[in-house]
Amino acid sequence: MKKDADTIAQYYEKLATAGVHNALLEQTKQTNLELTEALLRTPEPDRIMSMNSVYQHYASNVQADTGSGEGSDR
Amino acid sequence: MSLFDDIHTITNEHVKDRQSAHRYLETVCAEMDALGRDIQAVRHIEEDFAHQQIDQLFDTDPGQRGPLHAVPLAHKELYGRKPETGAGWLYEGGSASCQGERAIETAHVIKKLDAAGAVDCARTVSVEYALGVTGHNNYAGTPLNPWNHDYICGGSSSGSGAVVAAGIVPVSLGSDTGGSIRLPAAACGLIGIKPTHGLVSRSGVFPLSVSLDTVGPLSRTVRDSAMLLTQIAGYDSEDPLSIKVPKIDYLSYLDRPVDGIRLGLETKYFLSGTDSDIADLISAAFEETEAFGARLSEAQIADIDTTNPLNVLMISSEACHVHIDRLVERHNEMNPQTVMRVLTGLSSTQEIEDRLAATRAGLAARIIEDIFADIDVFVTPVWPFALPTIADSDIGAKPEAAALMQHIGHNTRPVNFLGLPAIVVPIGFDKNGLPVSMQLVGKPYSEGVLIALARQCEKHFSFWDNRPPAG
Repeated sequence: MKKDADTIAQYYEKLATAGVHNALLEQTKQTNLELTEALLRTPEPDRIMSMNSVYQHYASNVQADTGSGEGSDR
Repeated sequence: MSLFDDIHTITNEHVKDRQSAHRYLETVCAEMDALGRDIQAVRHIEEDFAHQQIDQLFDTDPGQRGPLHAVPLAHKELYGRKPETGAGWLYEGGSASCQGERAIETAHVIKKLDAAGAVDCARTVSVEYALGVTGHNNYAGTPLNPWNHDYICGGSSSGSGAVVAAGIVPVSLGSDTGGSIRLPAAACGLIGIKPTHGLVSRSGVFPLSVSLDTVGPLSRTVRDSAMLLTQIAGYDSEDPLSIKVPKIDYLSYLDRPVDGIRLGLETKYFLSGTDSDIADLISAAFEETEAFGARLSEAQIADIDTTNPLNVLMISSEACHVHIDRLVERHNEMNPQTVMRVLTGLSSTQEIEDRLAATRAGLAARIIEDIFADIDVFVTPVWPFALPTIADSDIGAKPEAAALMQHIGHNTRPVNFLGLPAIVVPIGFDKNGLPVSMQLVGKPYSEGVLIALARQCEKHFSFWDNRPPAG
């Protein structure tokens, strides 16, 4: 789904029409608000990175290790 | 022939030829059908398919046989299987809202296990959409803990935890987005590995959160988890987050010494967020690791507390992408808790999701450098309190339990958010006789080190000298 304000609003309408209780919709909006506030309290990183770029850095330092193939200790 | 055997014993004693392999499969499927269904852990058994696999395996050149040759396994129901002929296996994600849906492809890791010679004989119960940590499932069934049927198995890989702890199969694949391998592994007294971000492909696995989902094994022995991880790790172009990592044989780490390894017991967030009776057991087990050469210190991890709510936000926001249309159409068939958890993500805009992804990467880069400057592995509890009963943790019947149940992922979610590898190891029992485990969390792609350390813990604590009375 697109996560723009209009699309989100349309989904809330669809959910209400489908019989999802308004109290539940409001409760989950409130929970989202609290979680989003936690995000906004967290300082933005100095530079934009992705998890894959962070982890590719660590992966590049891994040495291949094909070992003995069995391991003797049982 | 007995249950509770490991992969090595099964391959060397029970499946030596075609006839014995078929006979062993019949025994496993019979146990799956009897004990597995008694403990409400089994979704469907595919015995005919598995017998065909055995015939194909024994038709191949003996020199070409893999390390899992003819070993029957069963995995969480999120793992798709589409046989070459006929319909795909049921692929319902543990939800009545997906009733009758079938897989259209075979999961990448299942293909890898096929190539290693494993026999795929069943699927185990998942929490609906893998979105819950207690294991309750009104549609597929709530698995009973083999150590005591009154207690939960944890979730969401609850059925996998139950069938392995009951001794039916040696190992089972689960999935982990906020703790769903580690929590059932710990509740059932098992080894559980949540791999590093990008190490194991998720393609063909019923998704929950594209950024956070990981897949890995639950087993009774470190060796069997190491065996499975060796087989399933590797790059897959079909998984957008898969990362190319050199091939590692994790079995070769089983014997490696861990003398001098620097272990840190994180006290400020993990230990202080855990009930004192469990925290005391973990602290005592941590001290005991000195016996095999670990160098111990206390550790504190700046900003680790911020990762827990952000993991919840990311799961709900991304679950919404996957499930919102189904929720609009079929919410009456879904567990109310699932509806609530998915809906929590609906009002996150793309701008918020982008910021969340960037914040995650930034926090991961900084925290990883901070943590592992002075230690190699940090140690935490898994469950933050003694395992609850099925009745006490049923939020549907006891809404007042919701806040406590939300706390279950306190020690596991930060690890998903940071993308780190972790292994859980049982170290003893709580006051009710249920397993207690500690979590070992390592640097990116340090699964080998974690396996070496877990093997030493396994030998030291000898947890599996006991057997579940109800298994």
